[in-house]
Amino acid sequence: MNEVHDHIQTVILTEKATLLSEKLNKYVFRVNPAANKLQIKRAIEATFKKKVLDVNTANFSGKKKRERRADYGRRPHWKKAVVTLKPGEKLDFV
Amino acid sequence: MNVVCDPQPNCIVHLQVELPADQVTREWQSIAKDFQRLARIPGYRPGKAPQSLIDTRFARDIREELEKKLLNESLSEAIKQKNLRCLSVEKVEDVQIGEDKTMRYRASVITAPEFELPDYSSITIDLAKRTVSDEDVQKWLEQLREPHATFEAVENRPVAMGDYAVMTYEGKRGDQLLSEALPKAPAQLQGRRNAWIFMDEGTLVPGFAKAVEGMAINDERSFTLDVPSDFPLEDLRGSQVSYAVTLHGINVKQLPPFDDALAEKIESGKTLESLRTEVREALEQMAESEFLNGKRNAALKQLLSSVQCELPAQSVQQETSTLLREIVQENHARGVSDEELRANQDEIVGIAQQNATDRVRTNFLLLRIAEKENLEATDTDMVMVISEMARRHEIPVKKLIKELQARDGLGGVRERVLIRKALDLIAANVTVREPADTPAQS
Repeated sequence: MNEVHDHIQTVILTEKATLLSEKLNKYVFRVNPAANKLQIKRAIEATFKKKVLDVNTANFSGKKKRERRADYGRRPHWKKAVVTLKPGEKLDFV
Repeated sequence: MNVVCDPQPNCIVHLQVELPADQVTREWQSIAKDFQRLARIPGYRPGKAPQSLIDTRFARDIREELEKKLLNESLSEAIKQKNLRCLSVEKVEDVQIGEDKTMRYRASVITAPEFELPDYSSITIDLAKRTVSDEDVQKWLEQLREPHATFEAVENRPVAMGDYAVMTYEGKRGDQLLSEALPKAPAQLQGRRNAWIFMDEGTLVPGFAKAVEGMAINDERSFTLDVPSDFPLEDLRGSQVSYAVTLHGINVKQLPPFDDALAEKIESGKTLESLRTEVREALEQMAESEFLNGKRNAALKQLLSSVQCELPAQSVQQETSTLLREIVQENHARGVSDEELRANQDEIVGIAQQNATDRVRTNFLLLRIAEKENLEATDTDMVMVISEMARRHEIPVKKLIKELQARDGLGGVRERVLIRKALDLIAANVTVREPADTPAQS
């Protein structure tokens, strides 16, 4: 858990995330809900070798899911991180 | 666009084409834009995904589309740029889109042969026109009289050559009946009951009629014949065949007299004189078309003798196949068996190849003349040719047009019209001289 590579789970590629990266140099990741902003910053800097200016996070509850039966479960809770890079730094995910 | 042309034997030209990066990029972007408009990618509304994502996700599809589009456009442009008379594209290979977005490929195209057009405006040929004589008309009328003949039974004399003998006969080879020894032989050779046999030297086995000659009605006669070595039925060649014949009757063919009544029978409403006139007109028309064909063929032969060029092997091969098919069909219609055809296979293929070469060379020559004279195939010409084809193949015109459209056959019809027009043009300019040594034949 303390490994930097454990903190970042995946990059989120959506219309909104694309707009953020193009206009504000911000990149959206799905991260481990246990990771804090500092760990996320270090993980991004170590993985992509880019300088991070700011990290904003948000927790999301997993959706409730059921299939006909009364007993239902839910998708896992997850955490989103919006990482702002230093001006001039770029990430290319596509 | 950079095009390098490398001519090869057999009218094949190798082209090395290189397209500039800006053209390829422009085309790529236009195709990617189409993909972008329709692509459904999770996280994006249709048409909202960034182009970089589209380029990555659909790289293979975009590349395929790009190759298809650019190959078509650039190849026809390259052919135009090098002034090639392209007949067909044999193959396109080694298509490469480099890192710098330039596109390179190699193509092999089959071109029409290059040759110097001979002077076709002043051709002189020696050709006699056939004149229709009274004897020709009479001969034709005799043939028309034949189907109206009647048969008269004769009882007071023995059978003679030229009669129709009614007989029952049976053939044997040794002690065995021909029907058992050669079950596949024609029935008239094996034996028949009450058969009408024309008394002629060539009837059945040579010597049969001679052996029967002199028999009276109800006579019975047996005789043995030697089958010659050139007899059509191979199994009987060189053997001895014996026949037992019983004569039942003798008939003599009676041709009706030439008069108005016969003319009326041949064609209702005609008199002998009007029939004679009609036959004369038909024969004159035949002679005229024979003369025209002779004129065209002689003129073409003269032109072709001064055209020496290499022909595209593919066209000759295609034409040879067509001719071979025609020859086989024609021979089947005439009753020639597959074995006989197979026995003469080499000869037939040789003839077909020679004729195909001549035909292909003629077509190229005539198409070049049509091009030089700016001859055009109008809609009316096309319809006329298609109607003629429909009549020959016995299918409705509309159906034929649809079929031709479906298999890109209208180009072939257009070529046929142009060839015909060029031929007419040549024939119109031919000067015909009466041959000095052979007088006009009748």
